[in-house]
Amino acid sequence: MIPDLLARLSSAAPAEKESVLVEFLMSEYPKSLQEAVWAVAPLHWFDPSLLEAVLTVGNAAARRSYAALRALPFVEEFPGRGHTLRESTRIVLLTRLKNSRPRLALYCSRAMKYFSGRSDPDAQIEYLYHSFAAGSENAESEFARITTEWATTGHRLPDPLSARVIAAGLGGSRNIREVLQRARCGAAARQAMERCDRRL
Amino acid sequence: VRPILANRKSELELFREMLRSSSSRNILLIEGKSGFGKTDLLNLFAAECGPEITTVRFDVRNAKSGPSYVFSQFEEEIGPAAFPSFRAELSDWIHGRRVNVSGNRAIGHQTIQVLLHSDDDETRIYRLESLKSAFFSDLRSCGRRIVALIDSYDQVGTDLDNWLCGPFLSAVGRTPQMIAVIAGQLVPAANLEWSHRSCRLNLEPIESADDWHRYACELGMSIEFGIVHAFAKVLDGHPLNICLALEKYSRKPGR
Repeated sequence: MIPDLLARLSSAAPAEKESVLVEFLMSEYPKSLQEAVWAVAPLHWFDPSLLEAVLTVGNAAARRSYAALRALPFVEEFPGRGHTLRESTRIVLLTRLKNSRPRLALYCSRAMKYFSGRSDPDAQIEYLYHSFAAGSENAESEFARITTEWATTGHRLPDPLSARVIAAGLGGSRNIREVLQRARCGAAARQAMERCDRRL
Repeated sequence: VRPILANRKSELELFREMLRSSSSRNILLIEGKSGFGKTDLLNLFAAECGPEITTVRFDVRNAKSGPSYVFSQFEEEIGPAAFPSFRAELSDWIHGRRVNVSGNRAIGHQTIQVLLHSDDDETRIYRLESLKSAFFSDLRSCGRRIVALIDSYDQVGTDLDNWLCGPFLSAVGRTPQMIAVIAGQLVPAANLEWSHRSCRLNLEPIESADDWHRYACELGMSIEFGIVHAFAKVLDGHPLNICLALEKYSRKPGR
């Protein structure tokens, strides 16, 4: 096994080495843990409550999954929120997940439901990100509704960081300009969304 | 979660020097690629701070509300009583008059955010500047040493970037009892106002097989030196990737 791993790593391009390692590591995890790792890849952070929603399990099972995930070498604390995959690992997994659109859409639609109806801006930003990433047919109208709400309630949102998060949900979608034209976000946010790296 | 640091002795020594007040610099910028152990290094720094030091940690991924989030994080960690001037300034703006708010619970960052919301940039900048001056005046007279550990700087939004890079770090430079450490794949560009008070570190790969072998042994992994050497070499000293490889190896049955 070790010679196999070394051989694979030796022949992999530098950017692919982490992907090889994650694949080797995950192959030995129980199926339930593998599923949990894939499910958290689209999330910016996770805690037991969010895991309950994306894994569609009960509270006790979500807590067990959370404990198992926290022990993994590519999981780190996300201060004030819970935990997250280390960024480079998240990119590796998310890139693979994008080749399996239905699976990505499933996890994102569950996360979207979790964040829906919440009034705090951070949750609304996550809601929009997952709505776009899930390919929800209401994503654009929800984006327009929420950005209008922000504009009328005095929030300086979406600020560039939030805009980048939301735009990442849109991925490589060509209609980003149309989406932005219909929404009431400011020029700076519009530029941030148009120009940002949409991988995450 | 296991740390991914086999050897960051020189970085740790530099931070210790700052803590001992034997350095004229109190701003430390740590730049490193993803997986090079920036967050673990900040954890290590936090562990170095004794009880006489107040540590304020925040991750800019949480700071969507900009400077108001930064103010509120400090207030939460240090306590609202340490910020009489800041709170008076805030009340002055909110109520249009000076009122005594000392002893009240921490002011939420949404309150500050609403205050700092203005379509008029000049007004917003003026309010922010007056709040910042009061805030740092309080920090200088609170009688404590403070270490601010700021992570994921590469994720920062433009507004917060402009403020942290400019007014915030300039004020930190003039506050000797405070140390600010900023880590990210990108860190603030040098600024004439504070660059003489700063050190910049680029985290390098950890290529020494000796260091990694010692690290593995400390974690209780029974692993041959030759294997560690092979992983360190093939993975170009990338800390996270070497840790993943060692993790994989340590799971191998029969080893």
